[in-house]
Amino acid sequence: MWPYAAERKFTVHATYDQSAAWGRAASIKGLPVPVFLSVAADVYAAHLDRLHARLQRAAERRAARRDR
Amino acid sequence: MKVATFTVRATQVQSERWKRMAHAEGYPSVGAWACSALDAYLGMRARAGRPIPLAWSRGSRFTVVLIDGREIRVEGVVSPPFGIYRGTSYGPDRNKLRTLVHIPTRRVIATLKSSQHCRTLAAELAPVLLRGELPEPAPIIERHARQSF
Repeated sequence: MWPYAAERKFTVHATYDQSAAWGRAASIKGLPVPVFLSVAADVYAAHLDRLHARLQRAAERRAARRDR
Repeated sequence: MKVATFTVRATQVQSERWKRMAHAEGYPSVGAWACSALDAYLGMRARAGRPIPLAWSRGSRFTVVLIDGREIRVEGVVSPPFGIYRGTSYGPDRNKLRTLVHIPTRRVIATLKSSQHCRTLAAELAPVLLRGELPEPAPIIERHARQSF
């Protein structure tokens, strides 16, 4: 999360209510909101990776059962 | 509509991964995907039972049912559905104790030593309420009462 290693920048827009909720959650961790966004994006991306892998394996098993 | 803007920095590896996820989820940009990703992450934390940070506002009045059955209006800090007032379950008191109240049911949850203890307990009880369980006197409340005094 060291900022000097960053090479890409993304802009995230949020309503004031969302931004207030993010600020409260980030302050619990002691992080600024952009860093908290980065952490949450990594965690959610890992969750989606695992979900897609599980769905892919299920589809392959169904295809194998059909072929048999 | 007014919006707040945040700039998120990422490494090359993170950037590729987020772009792949944003494309897979059907979002037009990484920024739009990151917005819903953080909301989903906070929702996951709440469902996992982690304490939820609450925003408290001062100068609000709410009704509480005391231990003797009387209903009174008290003034304190509020973060719906919780309120904190100075006093005990016997009534308002300017001494040091603070009482946490569940405003919709007007029921006293616990009387603790300070407002900060009450806010911490409320943060732990909020996920319990989200899951639809009532804030009954449970191990969470008893632990906070023990630690408070």
